[in-house]
Amino acid sequence: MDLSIHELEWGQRSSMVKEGKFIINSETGEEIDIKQEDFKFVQQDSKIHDVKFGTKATTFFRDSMRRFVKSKSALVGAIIVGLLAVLSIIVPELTPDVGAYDVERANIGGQTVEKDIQPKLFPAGTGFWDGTVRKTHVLYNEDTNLPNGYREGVFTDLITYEEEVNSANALGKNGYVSVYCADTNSVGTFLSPYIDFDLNNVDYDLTITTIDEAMEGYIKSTYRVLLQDSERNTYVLSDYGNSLKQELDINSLLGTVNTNSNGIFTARIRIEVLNQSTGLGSIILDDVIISSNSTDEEEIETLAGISFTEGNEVLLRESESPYVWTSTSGRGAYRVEYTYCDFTYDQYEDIYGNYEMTISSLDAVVYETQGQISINLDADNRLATTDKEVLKERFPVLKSDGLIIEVIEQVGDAEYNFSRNRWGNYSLVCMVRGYKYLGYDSKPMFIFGTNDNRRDYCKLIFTSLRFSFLLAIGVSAVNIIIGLVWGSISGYFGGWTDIIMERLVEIIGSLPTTVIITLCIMYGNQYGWGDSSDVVALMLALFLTGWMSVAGRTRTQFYRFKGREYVLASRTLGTKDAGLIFRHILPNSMGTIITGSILMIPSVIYTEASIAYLGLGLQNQNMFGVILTEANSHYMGETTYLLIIPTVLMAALLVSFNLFGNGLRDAFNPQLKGGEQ
Amino acid sequence: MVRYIIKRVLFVFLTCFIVLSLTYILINMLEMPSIVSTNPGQIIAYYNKQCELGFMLRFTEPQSGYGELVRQITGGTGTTYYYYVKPVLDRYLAWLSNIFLRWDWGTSSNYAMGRTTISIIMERLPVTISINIISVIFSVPLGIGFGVICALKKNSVFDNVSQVLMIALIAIPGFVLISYLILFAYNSNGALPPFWPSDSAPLATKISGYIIPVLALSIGSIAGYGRFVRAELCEVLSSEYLLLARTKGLTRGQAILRHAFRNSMVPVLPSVVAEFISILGGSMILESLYQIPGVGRLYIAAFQQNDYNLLMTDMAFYTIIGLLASIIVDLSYGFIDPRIRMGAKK
Repeated sequence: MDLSIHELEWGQRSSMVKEGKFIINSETGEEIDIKQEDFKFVQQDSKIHDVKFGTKATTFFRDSMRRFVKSKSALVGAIIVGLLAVLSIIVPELTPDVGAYDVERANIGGQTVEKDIQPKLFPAGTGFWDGTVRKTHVLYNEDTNLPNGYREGVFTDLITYEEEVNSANALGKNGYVSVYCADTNSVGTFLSPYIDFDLNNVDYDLTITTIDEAMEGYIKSTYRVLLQDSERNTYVLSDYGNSLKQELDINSLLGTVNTNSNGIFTARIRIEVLNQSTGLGSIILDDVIISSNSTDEEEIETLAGISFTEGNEVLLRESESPYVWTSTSGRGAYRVEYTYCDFTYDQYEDIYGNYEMTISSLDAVVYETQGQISINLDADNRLATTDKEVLKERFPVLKSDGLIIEVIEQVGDAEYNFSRNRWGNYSLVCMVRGYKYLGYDSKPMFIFGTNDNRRDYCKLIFTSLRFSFLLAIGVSAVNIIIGLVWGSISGYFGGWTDIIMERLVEIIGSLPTTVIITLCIMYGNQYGWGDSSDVVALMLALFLTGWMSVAGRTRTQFYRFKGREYVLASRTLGTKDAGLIFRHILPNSMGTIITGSILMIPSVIYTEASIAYLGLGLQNQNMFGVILTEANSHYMGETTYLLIIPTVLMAALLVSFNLFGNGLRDAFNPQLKGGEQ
Repeated sequence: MVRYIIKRVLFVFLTCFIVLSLTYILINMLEMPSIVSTNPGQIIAYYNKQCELGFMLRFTEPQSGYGELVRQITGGTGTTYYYYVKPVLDRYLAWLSNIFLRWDWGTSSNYAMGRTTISIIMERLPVTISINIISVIFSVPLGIGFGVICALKKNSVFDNVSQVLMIALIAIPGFVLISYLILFAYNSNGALPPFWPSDSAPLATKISGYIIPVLALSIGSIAGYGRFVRAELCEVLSSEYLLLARTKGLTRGQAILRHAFRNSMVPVLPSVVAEFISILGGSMILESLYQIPGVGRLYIAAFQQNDYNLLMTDMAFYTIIGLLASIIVDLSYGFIDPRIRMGAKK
């Protein structure tokens, strides 16, 4: 008896059937009375083989796509890969050739691109990807209230802090002088400038203060104080000791001395630091003050000039100053106070913002011919001035959005140069627009910054990525074709053909890829295959190695399909071998093979990058791997973005390509997933 | 089985022979690179060695019909020597006989002039091997352990997260990972050396110098093993014989340890064995980025300094390792799992 679906379902649902009554619920014993007449045969006489399916027909491809879309990771991978591919096509075309996309200035746009500009996507102040960089431990200039070397307006979030450093610098304060022995065989000396002592009329006192500390690497030592005349005769004022403060009465300590005819004794103060048996000795001088009861103002000034209380200052005295202390061994600054600062530096504002610039009269003429300003100088109206009203009339700014915003000051009186027939000899301080000066129409923004070679990194990366993509797709296509042909022949004919072809594959496959690539590059170097012989060599190497996996896959598919009935049927109808291979078996196995081979594209990109990384070749090519290689020295400092951006992109590309490829393979070959599911 | 092994080993020898011959001939068909050294005594000694080994001919007068003139050089005694290179096939035969008779793989021309290439490689091997052994010691148990945990906690949050992580770590190219590790080392305030410490560095620095290379090699490999083991174990766990083992009265732990785990190791172990072989090869990229004086960096140095003899030996070294690994994987399948009868007829 032919039972319809309904009946079967009823039968299964009921737990017990008795006397034609169905018990629906075994607990409550609820029953329905169903008689035989309630049932009828669904298809007793109808023929269903030519009735259209109620469900939608699906093809293998559509079914695979459905499976593919279901897998979220594969979909995400596909989207990322697609996005990168689209970007690599669009970005190089749409990005303007900002300044020197190629090299420095005077190129396509005539703009100057600065080196290593930070990436910027968001407005400054966002704190992330905003073209700013945190500068730390920059010397702070307390006179101008600016970090040393930076101008107003380019920094925010300034924090200052003080530190003591053992070196002298114009920005330092206070500190001590250390006098030390430079080697083990000599004493350390510190010599004042020559002083004319009027010993008969004036009393001289010398006060020396040292502090009780030792410099790193040196041992606190003893010292003595002497006077040394111009003939290098010395007169000891105090013997070796390490007292912290010495007050020496020069007149009484000095014995018989050679004075000149005026009773003047010319000598210099000499402080000697004794070496120590345990190491190099040193003392740290707090201050040296030489005073007198003289009333001669000139002498008082001289003595005050030679005396010092601040280490940093005495060490910085320039050679023009008459009060330079010298040393024949070693002297240095000790614990000089500096103010340092940390701040967020807005590189874009610094380079492209408005700033003061001094332009010469020659440049002013150039700007006049460009129509930026006009120059209204005449004999009555030519003197240096800072009066803005006068300047506005004298040098009116003509363009409201030009280079010059405002003339602030004229430095130097203008003189008329009759031979050149123009005003000269002066210069102008102007407020200018930085981006105009560098040749831009508006403030530029580099999403990925610029690199060491002054290239727009974003454009460079995507141009290279495009090239790498094209290369990878091209190489993969060729490899898939070669692999398909080889695998088809090997798999279809089998037997001896198969054995010989397989052995050949095995031999070529035994050569490590690196070796093949090296050999190709060596041949390329010798025979010079065109301008980019490295790329040709790489392609050749990839052709040599890449097809084997496809061939293997194709061979397996042929073994699987060649015994099938449809092949037999086709053969009995007289189809030749070529027809069977290319028109019957291959189209059937194509989907599986190609989806399995899609991962060749990232692997080509990976190989290319490895070759560049290893330094085996490809230098100077616009390829993605080469960019990665150039970036790999930027491990430290502010330019790490040069390393991070391309590596993140590379990792994203390879990870998503893998997800995409695996998803595609699983969708086309659900049985391969096996245990993973 | 024995017959199969013998056949397989013989075939590997044959392949190795063909491949190396091919490489040698291809390299030697290139122009002979010039010698960088400017010390005539050293150059003459090197060329004389080449003559002695049968690659070149030496004359005191210019000759014709003796192949290509490589170099004419005046020695300390005032005699001018003319060195002619023999044809490629002659050199090939000489090379073969040197290897088989004296185990002499050639003399380095530029990298370390006059030294035998095999001694240079042997000198570089210990560093490469030590790094790789340590990383295998770490990665194999960790990777397998990871895989087992993931398989046992299948579809849990832990499993899902670690699956995503593993896929990412497998797909991220090695040099990116290494770059990031080095980046980290540079910014670690001296806790980790950012490049391989020199021989004179203190012991602590030397030991910490191992951390980054070992991490770089292990991370990918842990992820790889983890995924592999998880897939295998999941398949075994869903098999009928495991159900039988449970119905027989074994606890879950017993069943997993004695039945599932052992069986899932069948395809995993050969790849562990293969990894032990490829320890010798090391990672060229890691060695060149972290400046490790190993075999991989030697290869690049030989290439960049045009030292073809050394390059050839290094290539041979890599080829042999590759073949050795593949044959051991093949054979170990048969040993580990008797059901797989390698080379058996239908």
